[in-house]
Amino acid sequence: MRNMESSEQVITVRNVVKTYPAGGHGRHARPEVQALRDVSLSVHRGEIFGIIGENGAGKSTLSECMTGLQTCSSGTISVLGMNPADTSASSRRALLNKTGIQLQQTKFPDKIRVWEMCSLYEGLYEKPAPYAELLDKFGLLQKRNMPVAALSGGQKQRLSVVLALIPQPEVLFLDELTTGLDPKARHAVWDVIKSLQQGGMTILLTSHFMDEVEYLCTRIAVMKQGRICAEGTPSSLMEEHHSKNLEDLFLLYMAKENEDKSINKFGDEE
Amino acid sequence: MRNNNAFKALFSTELKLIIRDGNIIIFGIIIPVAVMFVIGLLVSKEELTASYAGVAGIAVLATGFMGIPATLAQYRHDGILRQFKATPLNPFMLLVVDTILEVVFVLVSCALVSCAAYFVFHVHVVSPVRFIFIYLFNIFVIYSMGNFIGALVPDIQTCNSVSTLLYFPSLILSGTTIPFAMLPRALRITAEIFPMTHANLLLADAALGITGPYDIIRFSVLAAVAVICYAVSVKVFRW
Repeated sequence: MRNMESSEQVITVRNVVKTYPAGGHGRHARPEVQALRDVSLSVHRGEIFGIIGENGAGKSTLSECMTGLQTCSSGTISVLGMNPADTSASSRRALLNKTGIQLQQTKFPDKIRVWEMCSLYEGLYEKPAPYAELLDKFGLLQKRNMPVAALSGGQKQRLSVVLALIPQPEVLFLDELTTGLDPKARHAVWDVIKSLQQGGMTILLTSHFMDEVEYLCTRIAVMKQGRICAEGTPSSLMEEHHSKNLEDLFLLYMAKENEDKSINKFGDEE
Repeated sequence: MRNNNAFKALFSTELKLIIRDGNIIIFGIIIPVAVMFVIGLLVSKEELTASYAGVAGIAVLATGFMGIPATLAQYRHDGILRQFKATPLNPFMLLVVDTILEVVFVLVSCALVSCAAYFVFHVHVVSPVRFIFIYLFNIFVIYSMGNFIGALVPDIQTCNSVSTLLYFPSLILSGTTIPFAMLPRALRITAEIFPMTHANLLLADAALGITGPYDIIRFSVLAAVAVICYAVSVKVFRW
């Protein structure tokens, strides 16, 4: 396999803290939450970098801070040399024309057709990819005239990846890439993602599926309660801890981190 | 150039969605034209001139109280505004495009109602320029209230309840479907609490070419309501 990774840092995250302030009243009151605690990492050009962790570990918050959907409370983030927290229209446009973003939950207007959604996205970017080709790659070309509401959950998920690829991004953010896909579709999507990496695309993947991360990612960061507790290649981390697969390693990290805390078997603090 | 393409892409997509949804066609175009014919057959020509102004306002009411707040609340609920934040498109453009489309439908509705009034029932608007100005002013006022509701409501259910509470009483009591003069005195007094009543009375005076004693006050109060509603909407708006 051709290795397209380079030492050029495409994403840098330095000492990022994200705090959600306390809010609400009465029974809707919620305490202050520290979602990210002094997080630092770098992603190099051509990598598929995976972020794994339990529910509420801060994976999506970190990914959203990198895309500018959220702003961090302190620390700095740079994506392709740009600051995603810069809200000026020209900066947002410049960054978002070079990044593709697949959100964890993607909703579409019910009555829109597949091709109309793609055509709309095509109109939003400076150098859009031909969407028919992308639909074909993700097995949706035959569904292009269907209303989005009539697609299955897995097909909607694939459509959200197609939309993220329309800008022909240098950096692709994928949040829970294959949720809702059957095993055959998952493998087909993985192959497309691998081919994108081989074409030089940098990909940041947030996932709960350890087999997916093990198969796709060149490096990973393990997150636990807003902190990165391990970072490296999947093989080096597994070797270091004598784990036979990434799932074992993940469970080991979670158990280790939970030793001093009152955490139940579902990963919730009690 | 790219902004232009984005606007065009968004405009054509939203237009298709609005037409497929069908509500604006039924409540904004078919019902006003049908009401115009019904009232035209029931009342005298003099009364019809004043009633025509109210009927022309049905589309403003439908889009302002039902269309705009529901679109805002639905887009927020579905996370569609947030999703557009992940693209180079400013989500604010989505709201601008939707508002432009609602206004286009309202103007089409007004044109059709006016054609029916003029060609079928021979209604003549005495002050057409003033009528057009007040009509556009009414759109500005009622849409400010729609934006106000859309910005404040926590969810789509609350939005529907608040919109319904404003829409149907306004539709019945504000001189849009039932001529204001035909209402019993008690109901006319009750109707005065609805901004649409004052908007319709201003429009009726423009159609008849008269200036009522309270027109300036009505105009000033409606303008103040609009300014306050837009200011609050911008202040509390959430994507």
